[in-house]
Amino acid sequence: MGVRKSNMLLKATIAIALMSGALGSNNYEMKQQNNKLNTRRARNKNSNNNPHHRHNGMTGFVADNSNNNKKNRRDLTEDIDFFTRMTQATGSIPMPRPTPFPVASVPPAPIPTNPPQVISTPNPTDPPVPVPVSTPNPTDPPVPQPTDPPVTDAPTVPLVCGITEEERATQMRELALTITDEATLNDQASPQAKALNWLLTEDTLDPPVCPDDGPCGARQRYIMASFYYASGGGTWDQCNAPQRNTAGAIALANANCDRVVTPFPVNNPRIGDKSTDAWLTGVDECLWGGLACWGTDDDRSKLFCLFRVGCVFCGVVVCVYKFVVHILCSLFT
Amino acid sequence: MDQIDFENDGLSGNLIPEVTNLDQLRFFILEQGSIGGTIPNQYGEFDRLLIFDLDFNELSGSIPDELFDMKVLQQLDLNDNNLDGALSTNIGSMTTLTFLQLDHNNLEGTIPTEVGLLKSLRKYLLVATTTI
Repeated sequence: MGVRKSNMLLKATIAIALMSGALGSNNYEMKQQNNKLNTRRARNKNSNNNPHHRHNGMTGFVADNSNNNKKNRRDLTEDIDFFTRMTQATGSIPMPRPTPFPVASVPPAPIPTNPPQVISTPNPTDPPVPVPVSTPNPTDPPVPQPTDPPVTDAPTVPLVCGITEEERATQMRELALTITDEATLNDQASPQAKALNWLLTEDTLDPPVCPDDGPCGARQRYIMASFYYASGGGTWDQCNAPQRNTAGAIALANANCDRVVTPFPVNNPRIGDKSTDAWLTGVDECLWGGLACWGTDDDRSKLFCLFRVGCVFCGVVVCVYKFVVHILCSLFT
Repeated sequence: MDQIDFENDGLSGNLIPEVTNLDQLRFFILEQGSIGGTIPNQYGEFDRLLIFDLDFNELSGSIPDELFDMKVLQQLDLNDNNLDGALSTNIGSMTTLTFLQLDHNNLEGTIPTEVGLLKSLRKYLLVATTTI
């Protein structure tokens, strides 16, 4: 009887699956389920060609588990024998035998007029076919929109460096004007204008440089970006900026950068002298190929530089230190 | 920033004056490229530069007098460019200079006697295929 229940559930599942398919759902999961179903159909079709499987005369599934088939056939044969004996004895259709499974909603099987046939059952070891849940039909009418007026919270302005992006842009431009003449910066084709534009719109350094970062912050990054654009950056033999700000493009650009800084007899440790990151990538500019920065020097600005590089590696905690150092530096400047 | 170092890496374009604001820079090395244009006058403002090496490029114009204001420069390599004009007498103020190469340019005139003031100079090349 458990096998019969499995049959019924499976048929119901198939019916729902077919109905869902008929609705023309474009849902990817639905397609996957239908594909699985079709695959299973194909497999069963092949199984039907197997002479060891006896077809039951119905469009259904043929089990390929011989041990289960034996049990299923035995159970079913008992049912059919009981049905036949009762029909012959009483001349009426017998009531179905009690079953622990709720199968009352399914009509009883037709009275067999031929010798009993074995009804094949699906392989119980097959993974269950998930019953598709109700998915929105693309032809359904749109859900009515709420009639209540939308809540109009005041728009939040994203802050960068604790100021708005517009304020940051203004202050960065003012910073650039302390070392670049205005005519050059107004010329959008100039390397300096390109560098400033890159800093404001494309630089992915996180946290970003801020106008008040100090000598090794925004100013240094602006200068190095200007150097890149002025010296044919993009057509260098190596270390060119990535084509796009995607992980793959950055990895490719970094792979094409092997510009280790020529060692000099310097006694102080330096940042970036062995690093080979592509230019204009979202790391400290000291790590771009061909550059080296002061590291653990006791100069305040250099110490600040060290902490800024630390930000890249260690995240927020070091950035807090960076901020504290910056404040201390400002007090003693 | 301590060092900008490129050698035969396909650099081109021009020098920008902004790099002089890298006031900690000690090594400015852009050898064997296609960098053209002139040397900005502001480059004399490098206070800590030890090596200024732009040989085998396409620099033109004269060597600015201000370039010799660099206080602690030890190595000046401008050979194999298209530099012209006369060598400034200001070169005598670079008393820390130990290495000087200006050959293979289009320099004109005479070698200033102030070169004799370069007490630290150990090696120099000035005249190969130049008109000095």
